Amino acid sequence: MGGVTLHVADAAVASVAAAAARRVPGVVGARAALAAELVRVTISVRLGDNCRDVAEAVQRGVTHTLAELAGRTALVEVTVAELVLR
Amino acid sequence: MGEIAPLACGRDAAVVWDRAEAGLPLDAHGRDCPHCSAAYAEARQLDVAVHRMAEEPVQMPAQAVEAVLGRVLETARSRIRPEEALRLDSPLGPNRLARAAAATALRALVDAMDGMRARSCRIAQPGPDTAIDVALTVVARLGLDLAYATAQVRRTVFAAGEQALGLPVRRVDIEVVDLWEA
Repeated sequence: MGGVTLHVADAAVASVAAAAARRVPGVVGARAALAAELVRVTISVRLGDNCRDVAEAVQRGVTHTLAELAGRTALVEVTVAELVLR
Repeated sequence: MGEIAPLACGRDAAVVWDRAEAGLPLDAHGRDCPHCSAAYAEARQLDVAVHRMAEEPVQMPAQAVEAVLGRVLETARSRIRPEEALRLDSPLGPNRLARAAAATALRALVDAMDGMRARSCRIAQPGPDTAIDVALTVVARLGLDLAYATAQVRRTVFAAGEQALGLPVRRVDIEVVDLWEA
């Protein structure tokens, strides 16, 4: 049986990262982009949730999901770009 | 934390606020004192409001969600420059919070207070740690007890920095730049 090479495109990795970020409570919206081995995730957070804690939870969630689904070990940096007021 | 003006009865307002925040009842003096009772009631209202905000589900029209996502995407594309962001601690590596977003949030909290409106909010993060210094300019309703109201603003900013932003607040400067007649 021949070997199999799996390549996950950067765009797909970014989509997986953004989806993982959106699953974190407090995250209202998310986008992700790749820069070498760094995954930059930009999120909006609802006002009232702790930005530091939400950002860390996104880091953990995205890191875990990328390792599990895409076999990628990446450094994740989260930017809270907006706080959603109500 | 900066100095807070004592209540008219001479008691430290922060002591009354701390009791309210901890859910402790007023002591014998506080129960009979109108100044302590009023400060206690306001602190309880503020505490309830902060917790309610954290627990309320966000219900936004689809258009608003799209607008937010659009701005997030725009930010992701344009990239926030380092000087436009505040550092957030994380054991997995530092994260960032847009300075403008943090300022907007603090302004909104001040605007929600009776008789006060924020006009500007500058946030600095001067040290190697994540502590921030906040400088606010506000306008107030004529007749408001300015010493008491600004102490409330200061307290709200200290609480919001830690609870909503995740950033310890080292200093809060407030300048009342105008008054308006109700």
